[in-house]
Amino acid sequence: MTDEAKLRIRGLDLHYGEVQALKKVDMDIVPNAVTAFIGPSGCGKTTFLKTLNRMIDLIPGATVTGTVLYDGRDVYGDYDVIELRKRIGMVFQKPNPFPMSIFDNVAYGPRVHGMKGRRSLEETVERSLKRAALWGEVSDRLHKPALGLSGGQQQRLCIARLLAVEPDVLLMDEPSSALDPISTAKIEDLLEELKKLYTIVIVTHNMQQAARISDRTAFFLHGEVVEMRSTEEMFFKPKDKRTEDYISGRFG
Amino acid sequence: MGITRKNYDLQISRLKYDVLEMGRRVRAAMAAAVEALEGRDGEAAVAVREADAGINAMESAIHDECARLIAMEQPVARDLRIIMAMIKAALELERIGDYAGNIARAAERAAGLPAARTAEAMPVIAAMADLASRMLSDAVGSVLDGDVGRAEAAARMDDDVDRIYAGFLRDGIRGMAAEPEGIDGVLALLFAAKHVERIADHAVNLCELAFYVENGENREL
Repeated sequence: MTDEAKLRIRGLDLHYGEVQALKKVDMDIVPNAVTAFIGPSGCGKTTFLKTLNRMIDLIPGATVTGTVLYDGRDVYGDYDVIELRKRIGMVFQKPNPFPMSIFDNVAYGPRVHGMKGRRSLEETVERSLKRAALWGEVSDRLHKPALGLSGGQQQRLCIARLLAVEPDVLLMDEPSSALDPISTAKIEDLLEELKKLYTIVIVTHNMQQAARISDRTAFFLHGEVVEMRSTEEMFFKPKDKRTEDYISGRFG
Repeated sequence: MGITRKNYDLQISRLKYDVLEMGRRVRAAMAAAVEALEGRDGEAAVAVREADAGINAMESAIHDECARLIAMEQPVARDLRIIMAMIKAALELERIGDYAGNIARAAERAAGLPAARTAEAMPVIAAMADLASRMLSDAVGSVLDGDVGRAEAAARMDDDVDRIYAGFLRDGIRGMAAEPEGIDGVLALLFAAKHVERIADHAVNLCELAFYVENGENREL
């Protein structure tokens, strides 16, 4: 356990009605690093991701107990959920740009949060697209429809849209699983850059991806964190037999 | 939970079997070289040296197989450690094969010596070779199973090999001083003993790999 945790989770339980989906999860997520969650489908990793910015509140019947401290504040306390989700943003598996221009997609968040003035919006859009490594590909067609972009570009646009509201933590739920290897590589390179500025948590089914891009890896199984350690140790000498079986593909 | 990747497991088992077989071959080469030395059998010694090409080919085949498994199966954790250890084990065994060839070369030189001289030295060299062979057998087994206890026990036998060799060397030097005309023969036997001693050292290197397989540790034994 470390003192410099960006997110500190203690004793987190989650129930969907009678079903317990997360069991006593304890975890520290460190800043300026990529933390990967791996585990078979239904293990609770995406559910856990959604508890971190209370996206889980949107799911009827889900009840959370335990604490999630973000910079020392309990997000299940009197935290303003809008503010929380601005600070801890999320990128989804399928790119979901709004049916509007590239510019308006990125400017959407800042406008909602009250940013006015063409100049500052333009600056924000340009900075966000640059950080998302998309600027070079779209700078001459900012006012064209976002849906005309390729899948990989759309996903980087969604990342730019997230960055525009100046978040602190980026939650990513299989952000490249719908992308081809080249677009995936671009996303992975991007994460390497973004972690200098943000805390990144990524759920991935691609274990090689977790190995390539993450600094720390947590293995989930049946709603529990079986093991969490540096990614290097995780893939070279995991402690738990179940982790070993899973990462070496021996889980049916 | 069902077990998957049966074919992958089979390939790793085959790789381990190949290393086991290579270990058997180098032990047989060492035994044949020592036997040629004892029997002052130049022809048998030549046969040992000629068989070394087969051992070298096994090393190449094991390396190729390891590279193929890494490229095709993306091994991680213990699988990866086993494959890395098999690469190193094949390298060590190849060197041991070379030493067996060196013993055979000494046997060719010793083939022209009076029987009395080799008869006196042979029990000592044979004792060393016997220890080295047992070490080698345990070493290979310990790497394949990641059996660190067996590896440590095998590595400890190296002290006995070293002690016997030191005594043999001392006696040999004394013998050369007392009987300068017999230097050629004594040197051939000393070389043979030296190479058995080196084989035991490489067996220790193999034992170290058991720690790597078991927990990723680079242990010095």
